[in-house]
Amino acid sequence: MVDTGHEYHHLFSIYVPIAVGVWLAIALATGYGLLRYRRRPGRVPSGRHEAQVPELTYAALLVGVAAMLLYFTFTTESKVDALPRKPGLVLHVTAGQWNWRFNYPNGASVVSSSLHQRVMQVPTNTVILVKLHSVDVVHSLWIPERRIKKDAFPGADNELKLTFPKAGTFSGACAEFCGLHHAEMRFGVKAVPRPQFDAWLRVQAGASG
Amino acid sequence: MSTIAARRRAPAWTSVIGATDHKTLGRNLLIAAFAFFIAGGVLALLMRLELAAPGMQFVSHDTYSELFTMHGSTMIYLFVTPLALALGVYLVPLQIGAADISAPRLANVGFWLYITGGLTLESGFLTAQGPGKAGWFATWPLSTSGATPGTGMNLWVLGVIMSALGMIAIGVCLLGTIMRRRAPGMTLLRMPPFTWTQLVTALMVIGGFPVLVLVMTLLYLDRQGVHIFNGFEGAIDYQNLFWFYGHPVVYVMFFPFVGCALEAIATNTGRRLFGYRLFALSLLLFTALSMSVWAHHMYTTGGITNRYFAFTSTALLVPAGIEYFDMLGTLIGGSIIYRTSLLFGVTFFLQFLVGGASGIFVASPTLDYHAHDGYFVIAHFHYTLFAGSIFGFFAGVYHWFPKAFGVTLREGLGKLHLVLLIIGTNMTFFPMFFLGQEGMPRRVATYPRSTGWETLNTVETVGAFIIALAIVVFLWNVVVSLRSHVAAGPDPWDGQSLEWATSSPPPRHNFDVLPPVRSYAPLLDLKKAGEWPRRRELEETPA
Repeated sequence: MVDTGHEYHHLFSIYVPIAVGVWLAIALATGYGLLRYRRRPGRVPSGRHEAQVPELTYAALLVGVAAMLLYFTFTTESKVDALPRKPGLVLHVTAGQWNWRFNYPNGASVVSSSLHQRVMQVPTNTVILVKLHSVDVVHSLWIPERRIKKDAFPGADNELKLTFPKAGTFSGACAEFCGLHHAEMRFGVKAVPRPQFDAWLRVQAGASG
Repeated sequence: MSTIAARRRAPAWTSVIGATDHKTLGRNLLIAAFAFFIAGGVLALLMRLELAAPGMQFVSHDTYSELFTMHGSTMIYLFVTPLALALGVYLVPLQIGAADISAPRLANVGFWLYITGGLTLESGFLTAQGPGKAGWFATWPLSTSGATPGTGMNLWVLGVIMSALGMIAIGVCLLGTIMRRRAPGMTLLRMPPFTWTQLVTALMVIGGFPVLVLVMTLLYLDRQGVHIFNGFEGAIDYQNLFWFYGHPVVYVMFFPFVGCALEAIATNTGRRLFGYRLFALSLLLFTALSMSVWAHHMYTTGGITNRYFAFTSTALLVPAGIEYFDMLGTLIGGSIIYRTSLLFGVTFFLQFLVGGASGIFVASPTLDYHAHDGYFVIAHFHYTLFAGSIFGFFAGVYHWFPKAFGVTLREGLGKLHLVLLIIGTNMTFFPMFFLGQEGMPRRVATYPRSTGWETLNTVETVGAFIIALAIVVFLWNVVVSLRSHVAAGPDPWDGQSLEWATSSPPPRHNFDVLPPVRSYAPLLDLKKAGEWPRRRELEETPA
């Protein structure tokens, strides 16, 4: 089971130290240049304005860094993007101005709107296939704790794999600006163990039916 | 005396309406762009006031949508892009030894299309339903007449079309000038670094902006009931077309300022730009890549090939990295004077690097699935589009102000301006990385109190007002410096390129005599050979 949160943090722990390291190295080199080569009487600026071997070596190093980052990105992306053949749960999500409707296979549904934000439930340790579409403008389903989002378009389903390795309640939001009540188009996700989820789902189906 | 008398006879309004002198045009463009910057900045301050605390305090949701739409639209269509080209209109003919730009009347038409477009876009505020409110990229179908009705939104679309046409006209004039009007001896590889940045900028304007005109025209027709876009494919088509303009334009809003920063740095280190040939090559590589990275704005749409765009976007670090090498190579081994222009130039590189490094981060689809449309991306693109333009712009302003106005800006106020801008920029935009990481979506007027995002948002709001204070200090510096009447002379910084070989401000025809051009730093060559007076000698020569 692929944990999107874990995959994100794995990649984050590669990218961010490199970014911070590069920033510090360039800032230190800049500071060194500024202090060491401050204008003083008698200091003649160097006439050298090209050094092809260091320049091209450096360019090759940059190509190497880009290739390495892409390698890590592509290996992670293939895990996060791969859609399950046999999902443990198929969840149909319909977005509209300004509400989310979560439809479960047994007919149960939860609607979270900008006026009444509600919490839907999902089972932990289950591969969930989300089929997502919109009835009006573009929306985007974002569960920040899972480090993932996917846009909802009118006219076709987008598919997204979700997994919840740990139980807990997380917040969800619409990420794509969708008009007046975009800010309030939020929902909650409660991840619970499968038996508890099944019990909740039965009750929900009764309530909706 | 006779030229001054002749200039005084012409009424001022003719030089505004019918300007064909590139210096007048450039000055008009700069002033107009800066006025739009103040307007866009005020909109940003209103947004920051609303966001300082959770809940709704100052504005309604509807007004907030107008604020962020008009803030983004004003800054991108009406401030940074015209500003980038304005610098070129003013400086390129001077740097290449030309008497004027090519097709100056076309450039003037461009200026007026831009002004008319800008006023059309802003005039939406006067309509009953308010101005554009679908975001600066007006995602379809949110931008349809059904989802966002109103005259203001129509005016927004028309305003964008007109100002984009204006930019194309000016870009064409710049490209023509660079291709056809260079001084004898100035080959492409003898153009000053700033002119190189303007060349690639003009190429991107000409390559990218017609697509903006196209997509906005289609959107206008769509809003009038002509069915243009349809369903999922229609939404993806719109985004593809929009971002095909929308990514080159971010480099239009960056390259000219790299040019400003590098010229200020090179001049104040007393040596020519290091690694010039690879720099020119990196600009061309950057330009080519800029036309092939657009869909990294669309990783979460499920409608594009993410890996291709991850590949091209990550590859950007190669040409960008080369520019940093050239900056460092110029500093190290130089003889550096800590002038405000140099300090702004160096700060430009370090501040932009925060945006550049976070840009490589969001170029990774897996990381972008979280960052996209959240405050992480807001932080990223304000470090690139705000810090990555305005620090370089001010490096250029402190560097070339004496050329344009005949007096230098005050160094003390300049350094205060710089320090305030650094503090304000980082207080405003750095906390946004953390808010984005925690899941704050963009374009929200409020956030739940339970999120605990209030402290960071309050810090950002204070930072935004410090930026405003820095801009006030700058404007004050302009006012007191213009009043000083201490002539800067033709070459106050010991300049390296041709613009320093003529008077400040230059005459209508720019040059009485053109010095020979033997490299990309022609004046430096002559000074080294003892054929041109250095700054100190100028001071010692009795007037």
